[in-house]
Amino acid sequence: MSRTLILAGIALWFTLGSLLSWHARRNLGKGMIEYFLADRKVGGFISAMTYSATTYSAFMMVGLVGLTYSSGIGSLGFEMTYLAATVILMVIFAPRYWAAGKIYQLVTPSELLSKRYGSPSAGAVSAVLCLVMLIPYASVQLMGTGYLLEILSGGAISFTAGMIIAAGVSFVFSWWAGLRSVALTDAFQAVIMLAASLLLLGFIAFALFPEGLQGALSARRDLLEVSWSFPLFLGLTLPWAFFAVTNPQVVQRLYIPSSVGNLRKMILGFSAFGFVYTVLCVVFGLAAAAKMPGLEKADNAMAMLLSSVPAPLALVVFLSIMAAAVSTMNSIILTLSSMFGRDVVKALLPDISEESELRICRLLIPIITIACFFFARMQLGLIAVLSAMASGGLLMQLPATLGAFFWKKATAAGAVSSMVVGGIAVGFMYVEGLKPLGHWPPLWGILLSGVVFIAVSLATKPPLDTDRFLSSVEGFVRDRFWS
Amino acid sequence: MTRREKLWVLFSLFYGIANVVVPFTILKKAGSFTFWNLITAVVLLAGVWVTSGWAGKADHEGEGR
Repeated sequence: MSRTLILAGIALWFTLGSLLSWHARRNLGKGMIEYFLADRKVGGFISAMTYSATTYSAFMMVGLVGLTYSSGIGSLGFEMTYLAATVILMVIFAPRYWAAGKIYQLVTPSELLSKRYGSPSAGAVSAVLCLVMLIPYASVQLMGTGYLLEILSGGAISFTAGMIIAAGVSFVFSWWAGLRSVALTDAFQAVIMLAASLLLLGFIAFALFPEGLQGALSARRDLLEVSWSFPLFLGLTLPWAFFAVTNPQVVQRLYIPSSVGNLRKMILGFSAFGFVYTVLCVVFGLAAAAKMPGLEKADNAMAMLLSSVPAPLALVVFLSIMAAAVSTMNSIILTLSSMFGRDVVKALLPDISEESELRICRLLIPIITIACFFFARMQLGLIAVLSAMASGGLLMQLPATLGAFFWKKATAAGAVSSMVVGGIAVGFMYVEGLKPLGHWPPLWGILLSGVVFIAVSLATKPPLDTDRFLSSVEGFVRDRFWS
Repeated sequence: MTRREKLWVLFSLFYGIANVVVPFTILKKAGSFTFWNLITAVVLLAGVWVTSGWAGKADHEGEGR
């Protein structure tokens, strides 16, 4: 694909996104809740699309396609388990987060832990854990875009230039009008992701495999068998299954729908998007395996598949991958900046004005973007380890989150110690490459974190406000959702 | 937790077991593609049903869409 065509496509996409951001800025009010939660007044469709675009990163069209290419439909089980688990958890937790957000005027997911446990340190530890785990994950989005641009342009657009473009777009979309701009551009990008995938499916079905994909796969029956080992399946699936309650960029979105009905639309819209997008990505992986077997690097499967489709279609699909990367990255940047401001700075300076707090948070948006860029530019082997352990590390918030809503005896000391011990244990096992008894670090980490949480909580006193917090949230949920 | 939520948790446990046991045993050689698609679709449709009471709540609250 020519450099000019690619740059023209990116320019068009960026212009449309910027227009949406500009439109969003016209409605921007003042304050933290306005900037980071769009004043909790987001409609059902936009909520569903921003949740989907934030969740589904460039991993889907590059990593999942490559995983399917190399290891068959085990990847479908992995990704479908993630989707179903997310919906299951949303039905239970979305009403509680939404209710707590309204009752206690919460801005970040970590702030809920501070409020519930009556200790700013619980939120601060959670925020630091998220910062450590998510900056590498966001950096990988930049790296993915950089590599893809370099490959598709035949080297005419360098890896670094590609990363600068993605970082610049992420910064503009998130900084300009906060969540109002991110949510609108996410919705726009989610539509691009789905439309491009459907167009590619049409081309594959009618042009690449006119005799049918099933027939072409008859020579590759191995891809339709479950070739994954159970420890591999568990190791990959376990952290992702709890993504909906452990990844702050998606948890924060549970605060934004304007009503109970719109919260439901968000869940159902995400369900539909996730199902279609997952099936399509797996089909692309199978199609690539049938059409071009023997690739040395499975992650190049999508790039190779795009080399066999007409340039305009390849451009649209490429833009959809870039949209997936940017929509994930700008959401992470926005959420991390709010967490650092609310859960770290505010914990250290409790008397800081909301105006100053917001100024610090906004200042952090370019700083985090630049940090991600330099992190990605180093191309360290460590980044791969850190990004792989991101979901596992974030999983260590699970005991504290479950305890916050469902266990009266849970304490701040239990929450803090479980996150610290679990996070260090998972990090150590990933860095050292340890898999005791053949199982992946997240399994051992969550067991350890859970045991520490229970033991320390039982040994310490729960905060005085526990009953009030739990009864207010449960009462709200019962009245508004289930009555 | 309400009764409906408890039923949802119980349903989720059945899903979690079936989602792993069936593909890794009896459908290991063939059929997992269809199975995983179907069982996920069942969970998503169950989600539509279990949250059906949430629909239209905004009207009662007088909140904007």
